[in-house]
Amino acid sequence: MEFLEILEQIFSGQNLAILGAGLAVALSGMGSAKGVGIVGEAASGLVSENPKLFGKSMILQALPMTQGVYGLVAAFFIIFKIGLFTEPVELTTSQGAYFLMAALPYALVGYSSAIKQGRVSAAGINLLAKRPDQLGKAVTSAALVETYAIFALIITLIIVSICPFA
Amino acid sequence: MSISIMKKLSVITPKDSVDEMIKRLIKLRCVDVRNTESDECGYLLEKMNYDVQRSDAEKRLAEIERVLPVLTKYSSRMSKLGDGRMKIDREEFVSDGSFKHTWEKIEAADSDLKRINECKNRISADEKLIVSLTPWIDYGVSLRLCNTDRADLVIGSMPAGTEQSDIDEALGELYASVDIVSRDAGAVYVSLISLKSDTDEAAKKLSSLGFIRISFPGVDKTPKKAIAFLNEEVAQLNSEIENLTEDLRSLSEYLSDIEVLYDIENTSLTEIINKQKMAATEDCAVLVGWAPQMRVEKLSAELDKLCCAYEIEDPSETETPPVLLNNNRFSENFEWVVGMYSYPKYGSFDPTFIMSIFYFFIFGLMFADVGYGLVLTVCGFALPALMGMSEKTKRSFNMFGYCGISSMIMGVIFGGWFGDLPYAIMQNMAGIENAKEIYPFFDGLWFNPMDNPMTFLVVALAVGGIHLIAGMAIKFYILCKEGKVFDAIFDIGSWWVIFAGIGVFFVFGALPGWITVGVGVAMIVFTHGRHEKNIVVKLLKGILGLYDITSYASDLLSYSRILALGLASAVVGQVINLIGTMSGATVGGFVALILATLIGHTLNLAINILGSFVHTSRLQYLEFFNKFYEDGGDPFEAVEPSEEYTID
Repeated sequence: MEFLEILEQIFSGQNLAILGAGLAVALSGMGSAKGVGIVGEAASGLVSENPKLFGKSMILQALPMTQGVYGLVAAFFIIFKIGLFTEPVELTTSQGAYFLMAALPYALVGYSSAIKQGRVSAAGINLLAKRPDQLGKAVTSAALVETYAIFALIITLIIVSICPFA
Repeated sequence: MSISIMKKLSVITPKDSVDEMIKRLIKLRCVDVRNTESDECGYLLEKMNYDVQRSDAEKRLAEIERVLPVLTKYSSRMSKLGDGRMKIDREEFVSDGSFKHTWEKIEAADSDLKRINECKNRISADEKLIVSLTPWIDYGVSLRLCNTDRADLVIGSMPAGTEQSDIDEALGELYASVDIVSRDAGAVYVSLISLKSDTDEAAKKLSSLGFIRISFPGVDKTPKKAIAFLNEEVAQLNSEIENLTEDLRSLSEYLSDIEVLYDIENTSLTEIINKQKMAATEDCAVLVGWAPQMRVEKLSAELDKLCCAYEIEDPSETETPPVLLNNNRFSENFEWVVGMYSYPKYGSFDPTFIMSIFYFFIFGLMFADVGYGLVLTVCGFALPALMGMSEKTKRSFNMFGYCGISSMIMGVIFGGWFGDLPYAIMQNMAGIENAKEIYPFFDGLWFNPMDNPMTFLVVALAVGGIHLIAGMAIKFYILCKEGKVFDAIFDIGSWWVIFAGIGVFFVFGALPGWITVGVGVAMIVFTHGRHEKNIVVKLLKGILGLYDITSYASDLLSYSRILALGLASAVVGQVINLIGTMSGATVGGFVALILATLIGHTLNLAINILGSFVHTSRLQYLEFFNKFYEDGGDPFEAVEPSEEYTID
């Protein structure tokens, strides 16, 4: 019985909700780190040729950062909702699991879209190398990738905010 | 809010008045000079050859560009706030001798720079030589190493750790003797004296021990004397550099004149580049270009004064004139956003004005915060005024300034004050428990999206709906103007009937709603295939036309990003405030508050400006423009005098 009790304590409602918040930050953060890294590598190559383009290349490098920031938003939305900062709400295991599942859409899409956006931005760096005046087009095509992270974030936020018990 | 009407300008002028004419045109700043085709006017024309002049002008400009940054570094002139460019009469500058005088200064500075470089190279060569001579310092023989009739003298290095005994053993019975001069961590330095007949053999023996011959070409003294001589030379060179630097410092007094000269030379390069675009017969030259209609009067008045024949006419059908956007003082700041996508095609609709209004609102919704908006507004308007930016940069800053105003307005409506800074301070530092009830003002005049994300989503989608319908309305207008009234009604009007039906559905109930939607659907099914002949294909195409509903739906959903970006800045701001006010109203607490808010809000501001800018632009480019926009315009670029440092 003791083992079951430990399990019950580990998977308490609150802990599951925190796991959800954690996954939203961690996965999207991993994705963003990788995405920003990919662009950074490409950008260094460009800047070594033409240091004047550092500012422009930094705009492209900053694009895959947003997924990580959205992850932070999703996590804090959950943390605010379960009242960790003020008065913690009592959650059953299934109620906690609700938050964990709510966090999943963003956690997964945030991870993958940040990496993909990093790749498009890195390609944008190549575009910048040949046509330094075409930054706008490079940014726009990279920004398209972010759309799906935004959709997932909205679903996560809506599910959290319409939660009936907290 | 329109695309300026362009006129085509063709000028024929005697070859010897070309210079004068180009000068005038540059001063006028209203002509975009284009390449003259060789069969213009039906004659066979040849390009005028200015290659030599051009490379000369580029060389001169390069010289000024070499000198300018150095003199700026040495100059004691204070950098001024604001636009420091002064109006200088350039012709007077040339005629009163300043031009020539300044050129002398530039030549002087350039030769100083060259000499400094030479000295520096010499110094580094000398220092290298000193380093390689140092092990030989105790070697009392002149390094010219004169051989006698019978003996050879050679110096070299051997691997570290080589002992005299090893060498003696290797040389054996040969008539050769080796002295170890010095040792250091890397090598043993030796000198070898041998009988001429045994030299080759001795060298062979020694090289098996790792002997490498060293020579110092050009050194004809003993190492000690050579090092002393080199040190003296380095000192001399250093003092020469100092003198030259002092000279440069005194030359930097003429910095302002040199800047004028830069603009003059840069303008004359522009002249040459544009002259190269012209073509000529034996006596006459032809120039073609574009000028906006509103400047034509001034242009012809100016051309009348010159010895030339000109013609200003409407563009022919096959020609594509360049595009000059013409907008009011608010919207012109948004032209670069349009330009980032692509300029509109000549003669099509200029979306800048309508786009600027939506841009203003959508940016504000995405970034609804009074505090951040204030920072944006102040920076957007104050920085260009203080730093003296070019017109282009100034406009992009001003655009963000206007967007900041929108952010402030939306911040009051939706309750953003650096996130929730007022409440965070009241609750965590001043100890007011129910701050939100006592001061509801800071929670937004309407509602706070943090508490009501669903309502804000509806607002975002509603704004999106208006944006999309505005885009469709522009297409409607364009079609009607082209006389395709039926196309406008069938392709766009029928969708509006469907959209209206959805509205009716919610307002007047299901039946009237369904009927209205039904009318719209029928309009599409029966008209979408109107260009087909076969009745079956007509109907099939009509039904397929309904498929566009998916693209309208996805366009509309795309506006939900307004919610995501709005919440992103608000939530992160809130967390920063929480961290800042956590320690309560103590001294440490205030320090934490200032640090956390300063650093945190700056970062939040930076990342959200980028996000809001990128996503607002995207909504314009993809959702709005694709309803009507005809892109592919070639921007109009008038020839202008260079005004990098001075105003002409």
